[in-house]
Amino acid sequence: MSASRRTGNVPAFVPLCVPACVLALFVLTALTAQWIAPFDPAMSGDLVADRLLTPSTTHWFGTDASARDVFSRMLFGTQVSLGIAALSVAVVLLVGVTWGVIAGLAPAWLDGWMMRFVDALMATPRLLVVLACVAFTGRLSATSLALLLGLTAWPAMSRIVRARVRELDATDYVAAARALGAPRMRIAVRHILPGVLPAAMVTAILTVASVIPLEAGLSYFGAGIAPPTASWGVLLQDASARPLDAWWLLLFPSAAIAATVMSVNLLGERLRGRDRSLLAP
Amino acid sequence: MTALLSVDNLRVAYADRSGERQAVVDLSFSVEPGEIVALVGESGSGKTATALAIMGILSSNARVGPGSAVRFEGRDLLTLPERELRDLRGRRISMVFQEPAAALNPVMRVGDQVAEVALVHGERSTTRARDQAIAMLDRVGLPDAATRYRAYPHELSGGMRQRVMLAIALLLKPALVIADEPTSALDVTVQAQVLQLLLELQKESQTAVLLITHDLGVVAETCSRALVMKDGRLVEEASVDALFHAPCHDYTRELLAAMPRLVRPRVVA
Repeated sequence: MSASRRTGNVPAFVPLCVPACVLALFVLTALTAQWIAPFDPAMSGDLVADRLLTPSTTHWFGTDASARDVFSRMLFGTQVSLGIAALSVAVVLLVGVTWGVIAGLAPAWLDGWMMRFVDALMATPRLLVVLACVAFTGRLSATSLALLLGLTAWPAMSRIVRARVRELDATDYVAAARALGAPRMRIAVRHILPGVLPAAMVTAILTVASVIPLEAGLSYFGAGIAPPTASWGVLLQDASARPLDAWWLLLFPSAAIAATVMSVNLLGERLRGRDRSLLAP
Repeated sequence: MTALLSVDNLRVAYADRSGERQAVVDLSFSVEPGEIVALVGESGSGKTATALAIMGILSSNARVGPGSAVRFEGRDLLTLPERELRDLRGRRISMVFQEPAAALNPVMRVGDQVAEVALVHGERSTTRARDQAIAMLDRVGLPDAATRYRAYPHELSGGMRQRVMLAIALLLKPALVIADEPTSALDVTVQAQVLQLLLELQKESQTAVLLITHDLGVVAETCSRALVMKDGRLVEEASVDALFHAPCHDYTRELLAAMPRLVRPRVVA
């Protein structure tokens, strides 16, 4: 087996611990934002004296046009952005895996209908659906935005899961489980599901990489999280109102998004490569 | 004595892109209780399709033809509802697969896979199922069975894995075991041990065995009767003595002639 196959598309010189540490740092930040933030993220300071300060020892990431501490807003923004990503991926896992397993084990006609439905959903542009929902309901809360992003992202997951279920259903050990009289439900849960999970986890990780920029983009365009709640996208929106002289407003949220998405992608690709080598006979 | 298993006019066809391919054509035979019957034939002669059809676990692109009947303990398996069929599988009739590495779930502890048979067939206590599995693993000669219970299939050798498969197949002392080439994936030295074990267990539990093989040496050592299949059809049925000393069908002679021997074969024509 060649080295490139073993590690997926990612050069092996990026150690797995680098993206893992970056992500761990962000998650830790998100979980502890309440305690480590030096200022209230929504509270303005002195609007004249503390407005648009460059990064300093008091305000590590500077302050914005409303004299709010950008570092504190970044901490809480991380919480919101990663929270949305986590919740939407949970929805993707729940709906996508369930749908995929059922379709994979269903009789051919039902499988056909379920997968054509998935095709139809995948043929619909996600952004359009999300924008339409926002147009109908007005500004969404973080939770409903997460649910919406999750409910538009599961078809890809279900397709991958269904393919894997079909593969596993044809294995000797599933035939052997049938031969010892195991009921269908037991076979699905005990023999097929564990084999589906590695592929599902990799897909879930890669879904995070698509949800984070989408949330940021939506919030940036004013269709996502409503200010003053901070998310990475909202912070970018704040920055967009300023000329480039206030570089710190743009730099930190962009860097956070880029670092997260890159780390998530690296991690996902590496795990995928590893999974494939595990599965190779 | 009524036959334990009787197969009548069994037809199995596989659908592929070019249409239907007949895997088994009008196959009829029977197995008596406690008997060891060999089903012999080259690769692709329909042996495995026969086994899967009897177990009712053919893949979805396979179809059993009309007029076929598989009677087991007086019931037609082909018309039995799935629920009753499930109750028979693993308890009254079980199967040993050819490739133990593929037939064991790679992400499940081997002991749990043995205990699963008991749990599926009405055992409610996981501890009792576990004890039963350990006792059986010990019986099939897995050294240090209580520890090996927690091993994953990849941690065992090929012979050990096939012993585990035998433990699964024979845990509930079924009336019939279908062994589909149980030794062909194993080293020659291990083959003899596994076969010996199968015979011991067969004697202990008075189980009938339908032994599918292409190895006539195995047939000569173990079976009382042999069925020879070619291209999905039964071409000869005879006691093993008759088969080796006076084969009727040309194909059987070919098979016998194809056996590697240390001395020049006597039986030809």
